Amino acid sequence: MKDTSMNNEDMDIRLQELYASDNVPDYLNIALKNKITAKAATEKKKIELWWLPAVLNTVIAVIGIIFALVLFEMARIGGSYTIIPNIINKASELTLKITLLGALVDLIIGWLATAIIIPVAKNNNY
Amino acid sequence: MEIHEFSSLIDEYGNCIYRFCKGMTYTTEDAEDLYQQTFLVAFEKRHKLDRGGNVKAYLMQIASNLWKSHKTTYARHERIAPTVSFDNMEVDIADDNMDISENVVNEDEKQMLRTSIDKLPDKLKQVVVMFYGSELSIEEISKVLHIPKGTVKSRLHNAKEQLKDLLEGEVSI
Repeated sequence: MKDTSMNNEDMDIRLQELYASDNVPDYLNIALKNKITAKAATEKKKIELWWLPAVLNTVIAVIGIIFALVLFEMARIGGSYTIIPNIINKASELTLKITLLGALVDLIIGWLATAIIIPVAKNNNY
Repeated sequence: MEIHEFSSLIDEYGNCIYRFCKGMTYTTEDAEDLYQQTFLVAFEKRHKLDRGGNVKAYLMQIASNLWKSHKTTYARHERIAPTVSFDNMEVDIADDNMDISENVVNEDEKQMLRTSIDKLPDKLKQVVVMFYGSELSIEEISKVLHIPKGTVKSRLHNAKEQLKDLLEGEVSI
């Protein structure tokens, strides 16, 4: 009768032998390397748009600043006799400063977020 | 990292990753797919490879994560396709010192062992394939699976005990 008992060393040897012959077929590595070359070529052609939100944010903030400045100048020169008198009457120097400060903070936060978040997002690209 | 550097990683660690892929899936197609996916994901994240560290464990971690997310698909393929692929049944007659009948017996034993490993719970099977197939150390396995070294050792021990029982059961039948 065949002895079927097996000790730990036997099992170790059998398991090592089992996997020893499993090597990657050449065709698989060739196909994989071709895919990687193609992927690298695609990556080079890809247009990165990570800067777009920050640039749009800057454009909007600058438009806001110009609008606030124009409104303030109109109120300063024309007083309450210019167009939209109710709004212009309220456009004090303090309001202008607050608006400009708000736009500046928005710009800084926008670019800081771009500088911090984008590299992290790129690193975690699974 | 340049393409040629990455290609050298494929040559260096390809076998160890392939053994994991083959050990954890049921069909050759799935194994090859998992193998390629592993290196393609690693290529996307190659900036992390530049930082040094254990490349083999890092690649194994990617393979393991991919396997986890696709294991239900692999199990479904196993149900609809035969588990034993033809290349597993091939008899290597290149060794002149061994006659064909001995070789057939060996291949039969190997096939029995593979079937028994497939019957192990995933947690145990993963540790066996990583340790014996991919030749990862206990420490590397604990890093890849995020479990303590003691747990890796106990899983290995349990796996071997269960394999012995399964094999002895099959032989006695």
